Amino acid sequence: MSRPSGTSTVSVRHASNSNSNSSSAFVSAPLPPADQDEICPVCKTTRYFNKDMEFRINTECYHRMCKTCVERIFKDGPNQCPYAECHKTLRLRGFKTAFFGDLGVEREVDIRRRVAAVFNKAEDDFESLDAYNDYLYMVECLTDDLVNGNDEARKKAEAQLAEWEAQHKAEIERNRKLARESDETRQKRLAAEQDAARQRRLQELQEDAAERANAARFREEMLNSLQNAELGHAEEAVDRILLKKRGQQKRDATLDAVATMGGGSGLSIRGLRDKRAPVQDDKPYDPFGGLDLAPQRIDLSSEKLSQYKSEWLDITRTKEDYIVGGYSSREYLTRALFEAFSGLGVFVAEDKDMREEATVAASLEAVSTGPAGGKMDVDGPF
Amino acid sequence: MTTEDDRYRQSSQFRLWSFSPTSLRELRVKTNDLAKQQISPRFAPDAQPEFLTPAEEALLVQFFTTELIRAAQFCELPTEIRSTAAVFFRRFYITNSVMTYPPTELLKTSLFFGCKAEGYYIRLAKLAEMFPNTTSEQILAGEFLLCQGIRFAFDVRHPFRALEGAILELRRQLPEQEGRVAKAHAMARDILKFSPLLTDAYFHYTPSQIMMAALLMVDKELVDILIPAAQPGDEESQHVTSHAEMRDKIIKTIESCRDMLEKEPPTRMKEYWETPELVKSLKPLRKKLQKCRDTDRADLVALQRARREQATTKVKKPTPPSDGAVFGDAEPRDPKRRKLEAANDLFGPAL
Repeated sequence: MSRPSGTSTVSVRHASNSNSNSSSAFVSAPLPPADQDEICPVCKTTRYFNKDMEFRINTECYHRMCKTCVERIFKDGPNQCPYAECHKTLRLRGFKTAFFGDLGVEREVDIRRRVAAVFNKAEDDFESLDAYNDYLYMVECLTDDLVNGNDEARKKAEAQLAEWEAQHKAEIERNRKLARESDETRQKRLAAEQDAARQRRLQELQEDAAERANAARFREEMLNSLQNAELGHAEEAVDRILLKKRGQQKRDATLDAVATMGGGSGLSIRGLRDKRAPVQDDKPYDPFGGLDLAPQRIDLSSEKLSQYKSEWLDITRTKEDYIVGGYSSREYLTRALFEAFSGLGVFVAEDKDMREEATVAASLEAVSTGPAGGKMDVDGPF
Repeated sequence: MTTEDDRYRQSSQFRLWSFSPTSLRELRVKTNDLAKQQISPRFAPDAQPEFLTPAEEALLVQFFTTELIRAAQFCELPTEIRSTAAVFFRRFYITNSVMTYPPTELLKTSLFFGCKAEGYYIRLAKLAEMFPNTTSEQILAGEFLLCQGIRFAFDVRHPFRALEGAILELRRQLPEQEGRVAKAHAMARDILKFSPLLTDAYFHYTPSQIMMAALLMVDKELVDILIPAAQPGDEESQHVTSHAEMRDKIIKTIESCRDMLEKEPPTRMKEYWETPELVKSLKPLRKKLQKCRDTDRADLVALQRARREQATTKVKKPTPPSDGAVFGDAEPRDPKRRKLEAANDLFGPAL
């Protein structure tokens, strides 16, 4: 959008090969040799005869022809493209100078500009980043269909584009206006900033000059006063002058401070409409992902564990040989108590019968496939 | 998944090695059938031996388990290792028949591998010295076979630590009945050292249930203390009823486990070795086993060597000698191998 359109200052140095009849052929067309720029494919005029030859294209089919041909063929109203097998009807109004040497790129840029004019939402129109990203993805898919898709995909994308335009007419208009406004304000701000910078530079130059003049004057004054002062009072005179100078500097500093205070900051923040900061999870990291390994049939809290006693446990708890080494009776206790009640409610016969119903058919099949089809014989893994 | 029960359900003991009684029975019958199918081609059609029935096989496995326990006691291995080895041995013979692989060899392998699984270092040569006519190569030969047979489930959950926990809890609750608790502790420990290993308790019950069942055999009231009827302070009626239902179910399970354990009380341990009748009654079975066993797989060392050679030749030549050439049963093995490869499952299909 911000690209200056129409007023292209770049002349077409490497105009593209335009012998193909369908615009989709541009997508994969290789860059043409440089001398393609020399002959108009329609009237075969060479640059030798016409030094100011300029090539034009039409966004309908992107076929190159020289300016003279365009005027000759399309001056009297719409006409067919002079290329063989191209049946597009072109108008004089639609012709323009290609900005890019590669017409495939030219075409893609044109399409993107057209799509961007319709899908002109900005980031501040969305609540969440996900929604914005989804929107961008949708737009990019559609654009890609238009640029690189086959005929069918292109037609579908065109239809989608038209539909979106019809549905969101008001919104598009509003966004366009907003964009223009924001563009204008930005332009204004940029101009203001440039102006301010220029002013600052000027001021600095002036200040520099003033300071230099001041210094020169001061020096002169000093010399004068020393000259005029009575004998033996030179120091007094110098002191008086220095005092005067210091007062001057102080006054300048306050003036500067006032000047910088007044300058407002032209900073504006753009972004999602929802300005809330993402919720931060400050809880400590849990390597087990909330897995609770505490058994349910027995309480393994540490005050409970200390109630368990046996001669072995007492030794490990009291004897320094164990304590110093870091042995904790807790590990043994939790494991033993856990195992005492783990699997108490697992009823193998029931559980396995339930599972078997699912696998019995498969295993029967395995047995019936061969005389040794069972798994009894597990000797050769090779 | 955080309750105690759910955490037990994650263990390989529950996932791979817990069965309902009917499925365990079916599995044993299937194992027996497959073994018969595989072994019968080894014999001439007119000289087919009389094969063992699943019940006889179970009896033999039980006998060899007692042998294993005796051997472990002789080698002075700790209780946990002894139990782990016994459980490995029993697990192996659920999906493998006694007729296919020689139990006398796998018994030693189980002991050695039990030491490994429990993190207890024992020198292989030292262990081999303990047994007559045994080389370390013989013990090692069946090691990988055993690992496959137990589906690489090396973690066996025993009820011993659970018993320690329960006793700690009891001592906290009954500080004045120290002697009673200590006595129950010793007796329950004796039961756990023997009875669950000889029965199918490890396959049908969880360690804490087995532990409770052992306590129930010793002192019923202690179990009532450990599993109280209703939690004090629970007013919600629904919670109380569900709790009561759960408790009834647990008690019933424990009682059925107790019935199972009572079939093999620790006093029988001596009987197995000392009463001549019992030893004699097993003799015909062992003889029968000698006749009908898989002669090609009797020598695990040779089997292992053949397999190693096969593996090395396979690297050199693109077409190795087929398994059938080595083992003499081309047809039944090949489709199986293909199936295994297709499944690409190291641990084999579901049991």
